[in-house]
Amino acid sequence: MNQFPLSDPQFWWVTLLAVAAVVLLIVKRVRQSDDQDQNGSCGGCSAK
Amino acid sequence: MAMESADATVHISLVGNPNVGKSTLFNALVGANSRISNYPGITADSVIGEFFGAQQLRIVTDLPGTYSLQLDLPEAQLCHQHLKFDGPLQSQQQNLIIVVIEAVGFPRNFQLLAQLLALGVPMAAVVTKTAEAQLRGYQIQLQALEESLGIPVFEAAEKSAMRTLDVEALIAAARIPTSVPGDPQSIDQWSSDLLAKTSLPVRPEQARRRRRRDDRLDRVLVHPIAGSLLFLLAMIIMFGSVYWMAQVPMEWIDVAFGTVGEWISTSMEDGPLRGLLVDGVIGGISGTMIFLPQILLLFFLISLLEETGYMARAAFVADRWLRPFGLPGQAFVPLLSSHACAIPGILCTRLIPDRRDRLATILVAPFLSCSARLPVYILMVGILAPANPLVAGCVFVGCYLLGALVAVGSAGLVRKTLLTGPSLPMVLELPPYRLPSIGDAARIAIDRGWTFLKNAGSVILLICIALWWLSTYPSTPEGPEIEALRVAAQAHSDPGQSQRLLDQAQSLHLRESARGSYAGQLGRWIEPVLAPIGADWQLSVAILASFAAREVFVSSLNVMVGVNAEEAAASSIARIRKSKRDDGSPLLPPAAAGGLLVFYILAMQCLPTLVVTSREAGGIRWALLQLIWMTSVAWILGVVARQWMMAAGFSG
Repeated sequence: MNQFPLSDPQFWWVTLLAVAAVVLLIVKRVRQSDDQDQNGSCGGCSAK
Repeated sequence: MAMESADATVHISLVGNPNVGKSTLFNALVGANSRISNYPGITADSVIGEFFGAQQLRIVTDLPGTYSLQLDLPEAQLCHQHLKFDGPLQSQQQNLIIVVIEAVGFPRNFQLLAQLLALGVPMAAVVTKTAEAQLRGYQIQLQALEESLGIPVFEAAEKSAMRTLDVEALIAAARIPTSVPGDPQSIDQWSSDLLAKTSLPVRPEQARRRRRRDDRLDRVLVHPIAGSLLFLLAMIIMFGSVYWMAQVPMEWIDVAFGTVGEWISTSMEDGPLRGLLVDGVIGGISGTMIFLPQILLLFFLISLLEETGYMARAAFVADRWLRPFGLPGQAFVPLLSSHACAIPGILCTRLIPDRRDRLATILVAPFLSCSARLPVYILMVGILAPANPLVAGCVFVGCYLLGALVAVGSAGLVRKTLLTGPSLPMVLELPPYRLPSIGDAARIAIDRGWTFLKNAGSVILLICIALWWLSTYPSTPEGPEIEALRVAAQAHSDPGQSQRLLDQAQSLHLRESARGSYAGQLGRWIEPVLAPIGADWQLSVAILASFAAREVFVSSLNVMVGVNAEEAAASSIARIRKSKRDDGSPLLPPAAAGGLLVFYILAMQCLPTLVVTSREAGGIRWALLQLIWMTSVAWILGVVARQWMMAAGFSG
C-alpha cells in the first residue's frame, strides 16, 4: 500500500518546493522561447 | 517628457565587410558577449544591444557583414533595408553609422564605403587589423584616410584593441561626410585615388616571406587527403587533452560536493527535507558543476584553433565532404555553430540563399553534437574507456564524427527525395595565420562556462527538485520480506552479520520505494520501448526527463540513483557507475552505455530547437519531421550499437 506522510510538515515543504520548481521551469522556458530571436541558444548550451 | 527621452536616444549602426570585427566592436560598445569567430557569417541577423553614456541611451545594431548594399544576397538586403527604409536612420532621432574597415584587403571595403558615404548620415570609421596589414607589406595612412573620406578615423591595430577603443570619443567625433563619390562610373576612379593616397608599402621582403610561409602551410592544411587527416588528428588530440586534463578538477568538484552532502547528512535529522537537499539540490548542482572543467577546456582550445586561422581551412576541407551530400559550402558555418548549440546554427542558415539548401541544413543541424550533450558523453565515455585518455579521446571524436556523418547522410537523403536540386559553390576568404591570444581564448571559455552554469544549471536544478519528489512519493511501507530481515538482524548475536542484514533490509526498502514512486511507475511503463537500447526503468526516467532538454540526463540519473543509493556520500559519477538494476546487475554495463551513447548523439531532445526549426523552416511539419526522423535513427542505431557490442563480448 502506497502513502503520503500528510501529517509531516516537512512533506508539505518539499511538495511546495517541487511545485515552485515546476512553475519556475515553465516560466523560464516560456521566456527563453521569446529570447531566441537574437542569435540566442536553447538555454542548455554554451553558445550565445 | 516623451520627446525629451526620444531626443536623448542615439541609434548606432555597425556596418562593414564580413569578418572585420563588427561583433568585437559591438561587444566593446554594449559590454555584451555576442558570438565572435575568425570566419565570416557569424552574425546572420542584426543583433541589437544598448548602453548608457553621456546621459544618452545608445541603441547599437550590429548588422551582418556585406561587401555592398546592392548585392542579391540576404545579408546585403538586410543591411540595405535597415539603413534605407525601416531602420532608425529614417526617424527624427539622432543616429550615426560606424563603419568598420579592415586594413587587410583594404580595397575590398571601398564599394560599401562609397555607398555609406552617399547616405549623408553622421559617420565615423574604425580601421582594424592595421598591425596585420603591416606584416603583409603595407601601411594605412590614417590621417590621409580621414582627410579623403571627410569623417573621423580611429585605429584598432588588433582585434583585442577594440576593447580599449575610446567609445565616447568615437561617438562624439562622428560627422556628416564631406567627401561623397559621384555616379557609379566615378567610383572606380575614386577607389584608385583613395588607395594611392592612403596605402603605403612597408617591409616588402618580410611580407613576401610571410606569404610564402602561409602558402606552404595551406598546401598541407587544405590538401584533400593530408588536410582531412590532419583535421581528424587535431580533433583527436583536442578531445583527448580535454578528457585527460579535466580529470583532476572534476575529481575535486566531485569530492567537494560529496563532502557537503555527507556534512548535511550527518548534521540534519533524517526526513524529506534532508533527502531533498542531499539528493535533489546537491545532486542537481554537482551534476552541473562537475562538467564545467571539460566545457571550459573545450571552448578554450576551440577558441585558440579559431584564432590561429585554422578553422577557416577546416571549412575548406569540410566543403569537399559536404558537396557530395548535396549540402552547399555555406552550410559549413551553420553546422560548425551547431557544435555549440543548434539554435544559433539554425539562425545562421538565413545566410544560405537557396531555400532547399537552407531547409536541408536546418533539418540536419541538430545532429551535430552540441555542448548540452557533453555531460552524457563524459559519463558514457568514462564507462567505455576508463582511465585511458587516448581511447577516451578517440571515442569522444567518434561521438562528434557519428553526429556529423548521420547529419550529412540525412542531408543527402532529404536532398534526393524531398528537396531535389543543385547546390551553389562556396566562396570563403582564408584569414592569415596568426598567433592566438591566450587571454581572449580564456575570456571566451569563461563566458561559455558561465552561460552553461547560468542557463543549464538553473533548469537542471529545478528539474532535479521536481524529479526528487516524483521519485520519492508515494512512499512504500516496508513489506513482510524487509520486516523479516530486520527481525532476523535483531535476533542475530554476531554484530557484523546483524549489520549486514540491516543493510540488506535498507537496500531492499529503498529499491521498493523507488519502484513504487511516480517516477518508478512511469519508468516501468516506458521501459519496454527503451530496453532494446539498454535502459532499465531508472535510465528510462532519466531519458524521459531529458526529452525537453538533454543536459538534464546525468543530473536526473544522479537524483534517481541517489534516492536509491545506500551510500549518501558517494561521489555523483562514481555513484552512477556503481549503481545496480533491480536484478543486481550493473546499471550501465558497457554495451548498454554504448547503446545509450549512440541514442544521445542522435536523438532530438531539445524542445527550443524544435520551436526554432518550426519558425525558421516555415511550418510545424518540418519540426515534426526532424523529431520523428532523429528519434527513429537514434533508436535504431542505438539498438544496433548495443547488439554489436554484445556480440563482440561486452556485457549489456
